Amino acid sequence: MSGWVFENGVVLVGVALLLLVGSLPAPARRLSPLAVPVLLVALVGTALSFGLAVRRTDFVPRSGVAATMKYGLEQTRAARETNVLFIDGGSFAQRGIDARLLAIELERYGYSVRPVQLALGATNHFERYQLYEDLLARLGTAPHPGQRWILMAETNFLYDNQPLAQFAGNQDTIRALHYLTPANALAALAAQQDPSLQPPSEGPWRWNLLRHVLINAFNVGVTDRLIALDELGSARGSVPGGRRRLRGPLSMKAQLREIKNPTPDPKPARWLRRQRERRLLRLWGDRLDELVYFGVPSTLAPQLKHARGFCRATRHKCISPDDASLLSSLDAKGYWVDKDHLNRKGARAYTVWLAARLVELQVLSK
Amino acid sequence: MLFNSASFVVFLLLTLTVYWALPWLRARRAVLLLASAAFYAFWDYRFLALLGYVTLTAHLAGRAVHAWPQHGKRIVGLTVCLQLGQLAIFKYTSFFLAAVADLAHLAGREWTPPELDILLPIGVSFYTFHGISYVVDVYRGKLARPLGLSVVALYIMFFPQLVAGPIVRADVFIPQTEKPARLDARDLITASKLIVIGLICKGVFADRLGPLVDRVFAAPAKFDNATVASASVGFYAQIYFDFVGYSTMAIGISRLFGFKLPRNFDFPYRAANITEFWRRWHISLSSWLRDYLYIPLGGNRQGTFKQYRNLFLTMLLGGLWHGASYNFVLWGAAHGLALAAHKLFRSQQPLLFASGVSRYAWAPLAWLLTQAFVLVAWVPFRASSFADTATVLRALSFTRADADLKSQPLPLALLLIPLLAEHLLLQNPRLPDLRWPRRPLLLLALLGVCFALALPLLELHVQSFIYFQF
Repeated sequence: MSGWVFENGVVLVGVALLLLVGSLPAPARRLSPLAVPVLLVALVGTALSFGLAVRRTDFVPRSGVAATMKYGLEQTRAARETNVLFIDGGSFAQRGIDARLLAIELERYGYSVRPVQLALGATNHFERYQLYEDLLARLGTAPHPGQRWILMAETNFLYDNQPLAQFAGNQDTIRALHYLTPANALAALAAQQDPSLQPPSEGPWRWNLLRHVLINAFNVGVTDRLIALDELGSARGSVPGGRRRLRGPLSMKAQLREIKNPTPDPKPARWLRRQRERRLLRLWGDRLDELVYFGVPSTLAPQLKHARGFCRATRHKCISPDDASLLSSLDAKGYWVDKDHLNRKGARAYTVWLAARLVELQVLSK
Repeated sequence: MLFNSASFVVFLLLTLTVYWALPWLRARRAVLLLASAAFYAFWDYRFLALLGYVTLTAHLAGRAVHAWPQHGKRIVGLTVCLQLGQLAIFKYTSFFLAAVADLAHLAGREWTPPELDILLPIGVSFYTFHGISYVVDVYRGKLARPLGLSVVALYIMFFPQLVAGPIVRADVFIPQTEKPARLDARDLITASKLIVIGLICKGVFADRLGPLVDRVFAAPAKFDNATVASASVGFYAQIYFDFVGYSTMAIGISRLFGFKLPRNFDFPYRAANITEFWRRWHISLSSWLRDYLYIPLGGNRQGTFKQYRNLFLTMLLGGLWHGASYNFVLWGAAHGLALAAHKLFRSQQPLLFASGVSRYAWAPLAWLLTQAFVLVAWVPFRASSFADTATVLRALSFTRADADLKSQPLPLALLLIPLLAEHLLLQNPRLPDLRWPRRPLLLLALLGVCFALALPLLELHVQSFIYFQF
């Protein structure tokens, strides 16, 4: 549907509603005690039904997250490989993993793998959860017979310790409104209350969360927010690289020292297992054969310690970047976009290393 | 906190719940006062003091008029000066200083006015008029006995009409504060209807037009004549839907608390002459200006010339009331002249309006002329400067060379269909009534459904109401 037709269609529906409401009589009768409940039930019921109906259509939010979801959908539908590797994560993983190279590397080891790069910058765990919910709702089917679905979930010191990281910056955007469903917002609020968060979550956005939930639940401005899936461009998957923004010296010495003489690692926040992991496993259900955690290296020490601590604590397989050979190979400015993110060359080095670890962990089927 | 924002919905639901849960009149009044103060503080709590000043001045003056009726005129005069004084300080200081500098420049002397960083308190023009209205009505004997501070405060501060009207008369509002409010099915259905209608007018029509119009009026010189003309028509529709949307919601929300406010618009774009237009547009302001400015100036009692002068002055000041800029003065002056011209024309051509045949033959042309004038007059109201006003007016006359300019005319359906539908089909007594069932619960359920279906149509990014700036 073209934008012009859609825009005018919205206005025409508005006109029709205006005339309909304007034509209703207002009889002078006693107010029944049921009047307000009836009004509210009709309002809330219609809003919820409308929301459900919209979610069943092929309309998606006009956002990069939906474009990534579309890419995931295309890739998964096209996958005939034995292993489908769904890569979860934020910008570290988006820039740090070269999905095409990963497939080639794993093929070298004799594995047929389709990596589906779903990592996307500035997405917190709740936004990613929504992305997977949208993806799985559309995929519907279980994996092809004999196919193995593996979710590679990123562990990252920012997103693991700030459940609503990036929300403040993305407020009132289409993507923020979309992922803050009542269930997701409740989960986010609960996560923010986790006393084991280091540092404790500031949680300054309760009202803003509620506002987003209300807007989302009542479908406010949905006609502006959504676009037909066919009309939305698909993300291109992994695009490692980017212009270098690195200033000042860079050294992995502190991290290498940390590997040689490790200091105690922080314990991962409890919500990660109690909530993030549980929700992910429930959402993916039987379709998922394996959940594997991984951490992407950064030049900043907290990420290394966080990933290492997380990997020690989890009962799932986990790939921590605290490997002296990996970090030594990345110990030059030429591998980094900035202090957090790998560039194309860095992504190649990390991807090759990651493929080897995946093989070592025996998460893939031949 | 805009009426069409999520924060207002929560605020309103909380206030309504507490208000109706309390059985005592005074307690309900207190709830409304507190809610109104909170509503205003949400914009800028510092200006609560100003609101308090206006309220207290009006209250004390009302008491004084009751106590010393022989000095009533002086008390009213002093109060009006005090009320307009604060309005002048907050709203017009910079404008007056700039005007002095302009005059000095014309006289060949250069003077740079000091840069004053005075914030404009939201709604100041509206609650100042409420304050004045109260004192004058006490003086005129419309309010027979002295009233308590809480009643006066509620009259001035009542949050649905606090920041952009309607400007309700004291003798209409105050009696409603003194008897326990009751809500029947008609009230609830009417309130819900008005809120949904207002929401559609604002959120679906006005807010959709707003960005398109803003883009052209931000730099009219960059766009070709057709684009500028369509943006002008766009603003003609936008300002109507924006203001009628706000007023309708304000009236609907008031009704939820059991208050009946008079209507502020009566399909003004149906008007076939400018006098009729002002009987239909922003009725609460035009009638306020008539009763508290035009009539005290002498009205039509001192001969034709003075009547025209009074009309012109009233509209000139009405224009200035909207905003401290020459553009608003120009808009007011244009309407003042048009009103005087219409009176003159009417007195010269009485047959045109009297006889049946010529009246009907004249009517379409009169309507077209009137609305064309209203549309053109909105140009200075919307344009940011005199220069932009001139550019848009030249573009509207299609005499400006525009071959190399950007062409992005606004979508026609978006501009005209809602306006035509609303003006021709809504509350049109010539159309047959639809035979809806008259069971309140069914109607309320239908309204709930319509409300829920209107929400997805709203523009996502809530835009402020145009009249909030006044």
